Amino acid sequence: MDEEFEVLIIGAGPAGISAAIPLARAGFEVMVVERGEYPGSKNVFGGILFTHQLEKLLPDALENAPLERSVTRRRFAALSAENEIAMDVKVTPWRDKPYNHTMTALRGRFDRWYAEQAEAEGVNVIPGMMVSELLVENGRVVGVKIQPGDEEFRAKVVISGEGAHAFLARQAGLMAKELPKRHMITNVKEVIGLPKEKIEDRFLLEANEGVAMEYFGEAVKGYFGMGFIYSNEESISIGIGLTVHDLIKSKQTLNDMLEHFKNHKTIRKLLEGGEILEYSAHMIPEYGYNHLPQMTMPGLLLVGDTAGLINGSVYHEGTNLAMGSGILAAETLIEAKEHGLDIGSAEALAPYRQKLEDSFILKDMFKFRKIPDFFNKFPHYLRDYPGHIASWMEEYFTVSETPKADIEKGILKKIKRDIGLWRFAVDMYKVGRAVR
Amino acid sequence: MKENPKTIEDKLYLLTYRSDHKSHIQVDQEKFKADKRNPKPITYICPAKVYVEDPNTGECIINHENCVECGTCHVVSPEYVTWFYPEGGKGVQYKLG
Repeated sequence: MDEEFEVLIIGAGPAGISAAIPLARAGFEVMVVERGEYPGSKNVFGGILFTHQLEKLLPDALENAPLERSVTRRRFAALSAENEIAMDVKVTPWRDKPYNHTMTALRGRFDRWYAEQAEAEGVNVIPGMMVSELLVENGRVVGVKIQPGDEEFRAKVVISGEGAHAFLARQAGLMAKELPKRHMITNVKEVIGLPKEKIEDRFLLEANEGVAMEYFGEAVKGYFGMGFIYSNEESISIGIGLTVHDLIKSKQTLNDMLEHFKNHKTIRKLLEGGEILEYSAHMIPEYGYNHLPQMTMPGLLLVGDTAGLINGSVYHEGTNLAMGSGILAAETLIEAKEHGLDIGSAEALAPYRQKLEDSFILKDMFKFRKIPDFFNKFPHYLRDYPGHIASWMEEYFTVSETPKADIEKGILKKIKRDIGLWRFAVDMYKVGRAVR
Repeated sequence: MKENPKTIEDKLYLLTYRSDHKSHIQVDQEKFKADKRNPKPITYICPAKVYVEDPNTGECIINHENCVECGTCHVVSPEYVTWFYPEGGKGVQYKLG
C-alpha cells in the first residue's frame, strides 16, 4: 500500500480513542487499527472508570456512555483466615452528578461505545487488524505491518496504545526486551450476575450507586497483590491480581486463589445466588515512575498501559491516565502541526514527556514512585500485617471479664511476639515514608 | 438454578472464541524439558490452562485455543515461550470485560 496516513493509532482502547478524537477535531486524518473483532473485545479491567478525562472530550459522557454505577462507597479491607478489618468511606453527595468522576464499567460495552464516538467525529476505526511489527527506517517509525495479510500501512506518526504487553515498544527499543516479573500483575476476574435489588441491599446502595471494595492479605494469601469487588448495574466484578513474581512463587493457579477468595467467610455471602457470566484475565504494567519506558522516538508515541501509565497506589487508576495520555499525545501533534513541524520528527514529539510530567498523570505517579519497589523489597507488609492486625482487633473486642487494661497489655505482648515493638515502629515509619 | 463453574475448564465454556487455526504460541520443547522446576511455572500460572506437561514424553502440550490472552506465560518463561497476539479478529472475545 502506497498511501501514507497522517496518524495511525494502534489499539481502540481508552488511550488510542482519546488521542483520536481531538486529532480528528483538529482536522487530522486518523486511522485506528484494533486487533479485536470489535473495540473492547480484548479489553479487561477491574471495574472503575475515572471519567474526568472522558468528560473533557465528551461533556455529555456521563449521560450517554454505557457506564454502570456511580461509586459512592470505597472500602479497603485486610483479611485474615477468618476475620476482616476494613476502612469504609461513604460519601453521599457522590451519588449526584458528576458522581465524583468515578463510575463502574464493563469494557466490552464501554470501549465499543467510545470507539463509536470517535467514528462519529470522523475517525476511521478498523477492527480485526493486528499490528505485528513496526516499520522502522533510519531510526524513525514509518508505519506498521498488519495481520492477517502482511499488509503495510505507512504513516507520518504512529501512536501505540497497544496495551500492557508493549510488544511494539519493546521491538522499538523504548523499553527492556523482557517485561519485569515483579512489576507485571496478572488479574483474573469474574462477572457475576445478580439482580439490582440484591446488589443494592447487600452493598448498602441506593439505586445507581456503586461500591468499590479492595482486599489485601488473605484475599491473595498474603502475596503482592489484592482482591477486588466492584458493583455494576446488574452484576458484580470480582477478581484478584498478583505480581508475576509472586504468582510463580505461590505454585498455585489464580483460579484456585480466586475460588479461595470467593469462599472466604466474609465474602461468600456477598455472592450468594449469583450466576457467573464471564471469566477473564488481563495484565497490568505497574512499573511505577522510576521504571517508565522512553515515551517517544521519531515517528512513535506511547500512550496508556503501553507507556506504563498506572497509578498503583490506593487509588488504582489506569483508564484515566490512559485517556489523559491520549489527549496529551494529540495535543503534542496538533501543536507541532501549528508550528509547521514534521509531526513525526524528534523535535515535534519532544514536548510529550513534559506534558505528561506537568499533568496529574506523572505528578501522581511521581508521588507514589516508591510503592512498587517498596512492597517488592519488603513482602512482609502484605504477607504478615493484614492477618496480625485482624487478630489484634479480634482480641481488642473480645468480650470477657478480663479487665480492658489487661487486654491491651495482652495485645502489646502479641505485637512483641508477632513482630517486635522496635520492628513494628520501624515498619510503620518506613511504610509511612514510602507511601507519602 | 444451575451450579456455577469452579474449575478453569468449566469457566472457559463461558467464553466465545473465534478460532485461529494457526497457533499464536510456540514453546521450545528442549528448553521446556530442561526446566527442572517442579511443577514448571507455565503449567500453573496460565489462567486458561493452555500449557500441560505430557507425563509420557515430558513435552509441553499447548492448548492455544483456550488462551484468554493475558500473556502471563511469556512474562513467566520468556526463555522458552513465544506468545504473540492471535491474528486480527481471532481468539477470545470478551463481551463484558
